[in-house]
Amino acid sequence: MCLSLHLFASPQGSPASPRVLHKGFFIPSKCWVNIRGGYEGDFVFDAQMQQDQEGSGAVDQYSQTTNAGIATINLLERLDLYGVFGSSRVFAQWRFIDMAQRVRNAQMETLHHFSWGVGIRAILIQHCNWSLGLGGRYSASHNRVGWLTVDGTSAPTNSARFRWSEWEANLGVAYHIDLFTPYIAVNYLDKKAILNRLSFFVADQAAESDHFHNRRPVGMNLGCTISTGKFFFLNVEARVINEEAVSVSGEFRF
Amino acid sequence: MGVSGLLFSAPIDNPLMPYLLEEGFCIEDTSWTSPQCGFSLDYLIQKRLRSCHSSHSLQLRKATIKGVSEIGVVIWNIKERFNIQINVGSGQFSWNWLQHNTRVAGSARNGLLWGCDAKWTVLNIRDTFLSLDAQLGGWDWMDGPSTVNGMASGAHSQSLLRYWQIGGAVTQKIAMFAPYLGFAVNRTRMKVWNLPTGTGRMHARHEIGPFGGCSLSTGNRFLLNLEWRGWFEEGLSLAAHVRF
Repeated sequence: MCLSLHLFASPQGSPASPRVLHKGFFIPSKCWVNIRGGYEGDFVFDAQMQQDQEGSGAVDQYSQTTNAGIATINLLERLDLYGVFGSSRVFAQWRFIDMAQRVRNAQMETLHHFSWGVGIRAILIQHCNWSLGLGGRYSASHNRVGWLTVDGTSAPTNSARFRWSEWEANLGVAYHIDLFTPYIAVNYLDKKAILNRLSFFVADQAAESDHFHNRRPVGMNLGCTISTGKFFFLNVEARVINEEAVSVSGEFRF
Repeated sequence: MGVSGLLFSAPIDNPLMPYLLEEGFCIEDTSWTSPQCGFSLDYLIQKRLRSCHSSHSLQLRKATIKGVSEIGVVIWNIKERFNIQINVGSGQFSWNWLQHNTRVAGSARNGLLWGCDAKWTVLNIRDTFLSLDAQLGGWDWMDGPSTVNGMASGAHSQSLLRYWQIGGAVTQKIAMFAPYLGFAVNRTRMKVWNLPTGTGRMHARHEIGPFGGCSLSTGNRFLLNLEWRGWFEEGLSLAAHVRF
């Protein structure tokens, strides 16, 4: 039985991922440190957000797509420190009540823009084929708004900005079966977004900005890693309850 | 107050599922029965609908639905030939159609997705298998906001759907891969109401289509399945099963 530590985020990956790959291209297996690199695609179909501060209603739809590269430093096959750098885009739809007490429908989509994240994940307990891991991650992006409509009418968005950030912690368990390492994890997510620099109303109380916040903080991750233990692994993950999302990632060990 | 319809189908998965997992965690592989459980993530890219006879007067056109669902599965396996399974889950769908040159759109969520599924491996010649699948299910208590030409309507629309589906597929087992290809017949009815444009009922525009995919397993405790569905709907699903 072994002990380690770790921390994690949006797509969390397998709690056992620090020890999935035992052999790399260049760095000897006996070395206490190794490097991995790869791709991560994260597709959030509904982030289950609600309006905060200016309004109180639900955000009817909040989808987000992120394509990014991952760079990971692995220590002792127990601890992963990683950075995620790529681009992200958000689509959101919500309703608000204007000064005449009429319900208005607003929709918005940002342009793809640079997003980044940093995270840590560690194996706390390892026994036979079981791994218990803990993780955390912080991610953020600051996007320009591509278009915005209110009741189907286009509104000027020259200087409009949409900024989101999130941090997340999780605790999960993984079990290794042949090529597969399925896992299940519980996560705590704090996600915030703000739409501002507008010259028209987009929220209750005739506000020209709107804050969003996730409705449910606690959710669950289900996923599976596929690997022979050499050079490469592929990971697929679904997130439910506090988000509806799927992510696909693949990493090479150097 | 109005009503209209929507439509949907569940992932079929490999009809050879009863045969693929030969060993489990606790129950011996010589046992005639074993429980399994699983999870499925289904991405419905597009399903086309048309109005039922009772809604023809509304002139609903170009209706489509798309969305994502997450489904938990409990399975009773019998003699590695039959699977009887119960599916329970939730999801979020968006729908839209044209009605007298007016675009009506909305979402359906917060509901319960349920279904019963039976899979039967009929025959095999060496590593080639013929299997059948039958499903029955529905989608209840769905509601969500709606818009008419992009303008919000006051009340939440509500929707309901029922479907049945029969399919058959040929699976070839190649080491740890089990690719399959088959055809399915799907009948679905859907209803959406609480719309300002009137009540509508719809059913699927296409009822027959191919499906195919590949299962990945060593036969030992765990299985992963990826599937595509076409023509009667465009959809992708990813599923994982564990045998106890």
